[in-house]
Amino acid sequence: MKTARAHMAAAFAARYAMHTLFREKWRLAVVLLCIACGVASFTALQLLAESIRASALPDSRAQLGGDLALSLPGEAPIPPERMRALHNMTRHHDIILSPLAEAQANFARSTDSGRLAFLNNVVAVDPLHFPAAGELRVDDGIDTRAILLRGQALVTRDIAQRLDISPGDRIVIGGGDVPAFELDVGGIVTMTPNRRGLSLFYSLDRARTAIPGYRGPTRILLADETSGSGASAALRPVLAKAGWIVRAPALARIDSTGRVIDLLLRGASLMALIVAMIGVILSVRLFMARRRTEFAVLAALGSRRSDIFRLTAIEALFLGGTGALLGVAAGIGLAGWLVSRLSSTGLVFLIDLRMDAWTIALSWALGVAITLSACTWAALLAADRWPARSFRQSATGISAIGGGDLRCLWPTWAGTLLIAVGSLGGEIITLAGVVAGLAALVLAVALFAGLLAAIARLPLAVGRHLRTAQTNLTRRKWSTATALSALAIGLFTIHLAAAAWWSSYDRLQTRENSAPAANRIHLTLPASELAPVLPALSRRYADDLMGGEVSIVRPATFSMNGNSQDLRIRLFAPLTGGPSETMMYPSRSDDVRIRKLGDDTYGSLTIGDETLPARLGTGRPSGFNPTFSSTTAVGISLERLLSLSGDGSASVIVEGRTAAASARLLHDMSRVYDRFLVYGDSDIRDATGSVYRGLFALAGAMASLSVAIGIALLANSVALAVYERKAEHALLRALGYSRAQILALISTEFGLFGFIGAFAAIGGAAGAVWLVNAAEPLAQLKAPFWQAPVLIIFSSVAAALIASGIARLALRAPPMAALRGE
Amino acid sequence: MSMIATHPSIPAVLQAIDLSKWLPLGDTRIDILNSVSLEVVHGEWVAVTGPSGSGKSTLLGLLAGLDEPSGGEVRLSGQNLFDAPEPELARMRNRAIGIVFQSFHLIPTLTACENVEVPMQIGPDRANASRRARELLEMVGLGDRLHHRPFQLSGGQQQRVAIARSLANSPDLILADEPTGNLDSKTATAILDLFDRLKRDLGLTIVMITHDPGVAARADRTITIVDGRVAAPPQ
Repeated sequence: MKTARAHMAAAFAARYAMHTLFREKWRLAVVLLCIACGVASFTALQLLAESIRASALPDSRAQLGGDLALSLPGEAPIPPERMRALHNMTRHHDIILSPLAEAQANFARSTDSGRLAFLNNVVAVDPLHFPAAGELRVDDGIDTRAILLRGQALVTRDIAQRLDISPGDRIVIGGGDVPAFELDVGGIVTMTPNRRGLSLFYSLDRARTAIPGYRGPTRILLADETSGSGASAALRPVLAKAGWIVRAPALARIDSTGRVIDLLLRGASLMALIVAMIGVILSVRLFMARRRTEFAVLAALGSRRSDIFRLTAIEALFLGGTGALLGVAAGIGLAGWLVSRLSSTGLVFLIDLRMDAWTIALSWALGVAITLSACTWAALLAADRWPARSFRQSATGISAIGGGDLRCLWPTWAGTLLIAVGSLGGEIITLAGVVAGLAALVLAVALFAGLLAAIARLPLAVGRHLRTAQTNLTRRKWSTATALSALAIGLFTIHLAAAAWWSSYDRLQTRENSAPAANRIHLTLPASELAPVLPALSRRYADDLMGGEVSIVRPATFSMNGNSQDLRIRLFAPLTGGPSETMMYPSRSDDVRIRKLGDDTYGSLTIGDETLPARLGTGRPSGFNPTFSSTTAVGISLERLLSLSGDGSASVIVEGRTAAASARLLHDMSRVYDRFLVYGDSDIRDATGSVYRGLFALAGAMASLSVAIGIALLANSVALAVYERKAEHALLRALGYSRAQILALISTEFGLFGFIGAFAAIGGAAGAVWLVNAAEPLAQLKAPFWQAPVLIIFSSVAAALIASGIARLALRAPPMAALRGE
Repeated sequence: MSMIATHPSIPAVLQAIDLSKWLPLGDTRIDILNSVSLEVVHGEWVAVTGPSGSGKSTLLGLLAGLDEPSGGEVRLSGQNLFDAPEPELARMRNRAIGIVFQSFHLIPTLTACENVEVPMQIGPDRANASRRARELLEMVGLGDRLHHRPFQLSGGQQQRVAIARSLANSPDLILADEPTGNLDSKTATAILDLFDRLKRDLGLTIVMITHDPGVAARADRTITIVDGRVAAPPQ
């Protein structure tokens, strides 16, 4: 009797599968839509995260423009003899040496449009050796080196847009540590080595002639000529011994801002992965829910389980393949839209949509794999070895429908958790990640077991519906726990996203509120012109001016008891009056020994040829411009400052008596001092505000996407839970319940469901916030407690409304049809 | 143990030997079938009757190899169904047994013709599956309903499709679970006439579960199940 026999014919299996799919078009459309939504959310967030990560956290070599960055203590320009020594040291190695002169916190102004823009980086480079690593890409294929050699400047697209300039225009650069100077725009940069959006590049030769008092490059980049040869790394100890400050890209990688962004992006991707998986699984489960009898019939007709698997695999491949394809397309579109929205908000870095083939392939493959595993797992449950069991359960459909069909979610959830925790722990799944994932799964199971036990003990003896709901929830352990966890994850997503959004909003508000109330006017000019300008300024605006201060930056040496420390200091002097002695306020980055000395400690400060007695102060002097807080501040009289002015740039800050006077001053000074850089506090606020608004928009985009996904998941899990009870509700109608009574029962039950789910979500979100803050203190996420009551009310009402809405549709079917599972 | 032996000279197509089925209920168990033994010989039409809950459908499930017994054997042409591994059991269900359900259990997304094709697509003659499906449907009087889907057919027509499907691989044995239970009396009579014709023309062996004495009267022999046991035949 044992003869070889074939499987179901492939052509027939394919025809069967296609009929199953296409003869119920609405169901097919809904399932495809659900799969596409899940895959789209994953694809969009992954691509967005990849794009941001690639923009904000570029290749570590490119971050510094090389393998090592060298500077000298005190950030003084590098003396020629040290440059020569470095050349000698690297001559026989496989190393590119690229000198830079950098300046930060500058403004650029267009001489044509008069518009002003904040610059992150103003970098003078050696065109023959820049960039040593990374890429500097210019529009229209213009040769970078030719432009830089001609003494022109390259500006990024962001600056060009803000200043409304194009190649051939002229701009004025000034402020901070660099004196004002003019540059011709030679080209628009589309890609910088470190992907900073607000950057300007020009040549060191140009700096020598354009900047008064220019003394040489401030930093040297070393890059392996043969990438990864390790030549520069091998020199590192020798360089450190020779007195260079050596900064390596590896250190840049742990830059705190980068870590926060990285953490948030990983979190967002993780969330997308979990949510997408659950969304897809729930959708597929819904599709497979009523096929138990069909599989039993096939088995009764002689189909083997492998035949049934083959059928479901064909269906799953079609559903997964098509749904994931639609999802990937939608995800790419969504990511593109989000990137374009973010780019228009003035982020400090350029974001280009990164069409990462691996991410796209992974998204599609995940969609297919999840659909395939969910379908075949459902088939495994349904295609019982003994078909009579399936018939028996279908015949007594109420117990079957209320039972544990949702169990198929748990193994997939376990896999998801493993992947999620593994990927959070490192680039690849680590053993520690797997162990942590298993621990998380055990904890999750324990949490829901505890929750169910707690529900059973809730004193809900008031009201018939509430009591029935409590009984229903506690007696359907598997389906309650599964649907409850899906609901909780959806709410968790909403809650955490809201918390992140509010944290960002809060920070933006704090920043806005802490902006200086006074409308001050900043004038940047060559220090050598201070002497004629200051008296003229006082004379011309005597009636409108309330006060002001002048500052210049100088290298200096602080000495005490035979010990000395090289510093870079900012000398401040009020326009009227002034301190009787030199007061020195070390910055946070200065030698800790100086800062520990405290008040009433006297030493001497040597600036150029002059040596002044100086007293240390520990608190911040009032009226100091916070923009320069990283430099040691020195209070000094105006006469003394003018005598020390020398070369370089000077900054004058004046304040009008009234807001109207300030506006008048700004307008007039811009016209009178058109050779100098003039701007108001509002310009600074605009510049910094745009940066914060960009980051806020980033958080908002991710939060809104997460909220949308969370709500979809909430609706999906409630829909599935109601669908599973269709036959039970039909029976209640057969027993004489009216539709209204059943709707009241369902609303009460799912209201309670949402109420309990919200608590689980709040606990999870608070834990996640705590973990993020523990991992990275700079993240400063706020535990989402005050939104908790809103979430609980939202969850209860939404679950009740969604459930009653779906039940209203389900109750349209005649009771007998529902009992038969139609 | 109760045993009904018939026609000792004709080989038995189907034998149930000491067949039992019980289900656990907490710490106790519910006995559904208790040591049932019977034999059905080739070409015989046997009706299994009994009151509701007596274990008739469970017995049919066990005879068809659709359910797992708690004890005993079912022998089909001498081979114990429950000794066979799953693929072999599936093969026997496909080739040697045709099953007809009370609620038809047609695949809702397939047409009548495709429903009949399903068993043949895993059977020995796939190449002619479509042609044979048409012939079978014509034989049961549904030649004009080949491409209709189940919801487009009446209850009687659906049951005739199910009967045609049960004949797909020319089995020796048809097991029918209340085949007229969901039909009106006129349609039920037509279905019973069909069974009669099939038995006569094709020499089929039929085991039919029914609680209707009128239906049982159409069979060659009646076995009555009461409380999970075969009741003694009337003297």
